Amino acid sequence: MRKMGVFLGLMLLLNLLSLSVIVTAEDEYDFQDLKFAVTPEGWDNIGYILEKLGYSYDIILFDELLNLTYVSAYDVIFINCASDVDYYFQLHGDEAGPVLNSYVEAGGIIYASDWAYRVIEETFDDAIKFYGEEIEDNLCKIGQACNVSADVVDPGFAAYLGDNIVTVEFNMDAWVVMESVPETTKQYLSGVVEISGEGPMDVPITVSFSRGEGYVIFTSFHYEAQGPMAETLMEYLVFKAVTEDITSTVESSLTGEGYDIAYDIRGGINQDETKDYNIEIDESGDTKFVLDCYGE
Amino acid sequence: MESNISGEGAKQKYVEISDASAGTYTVSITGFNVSNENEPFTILIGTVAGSSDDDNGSEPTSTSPDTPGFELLTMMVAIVIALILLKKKK
Repeated sequence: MRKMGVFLGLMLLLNLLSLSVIVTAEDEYDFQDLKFAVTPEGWDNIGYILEKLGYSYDIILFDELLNLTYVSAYDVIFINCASDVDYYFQLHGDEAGPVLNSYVEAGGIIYASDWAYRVIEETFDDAIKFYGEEIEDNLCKIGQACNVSADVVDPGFAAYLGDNIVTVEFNMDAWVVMESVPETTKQYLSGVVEISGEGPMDVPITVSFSRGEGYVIFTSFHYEAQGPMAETLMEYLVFKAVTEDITSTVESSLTGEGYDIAYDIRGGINQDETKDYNIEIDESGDTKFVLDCYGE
Repeated sequence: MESNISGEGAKQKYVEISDASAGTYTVSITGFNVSNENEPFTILIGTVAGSSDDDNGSEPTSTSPDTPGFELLTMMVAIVIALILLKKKK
């Protein structure tokens, strides 16, 4: 019995040694290199979450969103849910839309919450179908305040969270409901929510779509209203932002070899820290795990 | 089962498993000589569904078939992939 224990221990050690990878990276990555801009606080306050996570940011005014040179100075622009962002983009969507589209096409990232949906409507109209948009412009503002056990649809985010379910709080009525998204738009969270006049309905809650070199993330909830989940989501999304270039290289390589991407996990790690991610492989077949980081 | 550590480039590394069994895997990474807090990384996992010749999910073949430790863990349907980040300052 003891011999068997020693044997198993040796085999485990051999296995770990055989799979250990040493990655040398000479370049450093500094989060402070990232430039964040946040629109003024409204019904949501994304800046509050960024501050809690230790990220600095500039306030960007709506008029400044009309200037491509100005917005291009930022890696990420966060657009808070607010009544005035809705109003502003109804008036100036024709001017702001092309600017923000060019910004994202060139690699910029936009995060928008709830009533900032107007930015999506005016700039990336085909990326999200908002509730009732074909009937009436503002009909989508019919979400009721409620707590939702949301499904973590994206496997990478689920692995990062370590859970397939999170609680999402809709802290106010009249939040913007997404009815559906096309296949090209990726869902992170979905769930059964309460909708005025409709009752419960299963809808996307957090989604992302790409345009050119950049992408856009939209959430129906307010970041500020969430508990630790919002910080975790924000952290994950920031890691997503900073690793987008190395990830797209890996993705091209994998798809070129005939693989489908089953998991896309982003994260950060500290000295001597170990992170474990549980991965579900549904069907047997060739599988390839690729790790990449910054540096040469 | 095949486990393959990439020698291409200095930073991107992979573990490739031919004919991996369906099940739960644990990917484990450890920060080693990491100089910054929250050093960003990405892990992508690619699959070729149905590439197995055996529908019964039998043990995968390996380039190192004499490494029983690997098979042992496979039988437990839990494989630890240890990817160690080594970060050097310029």
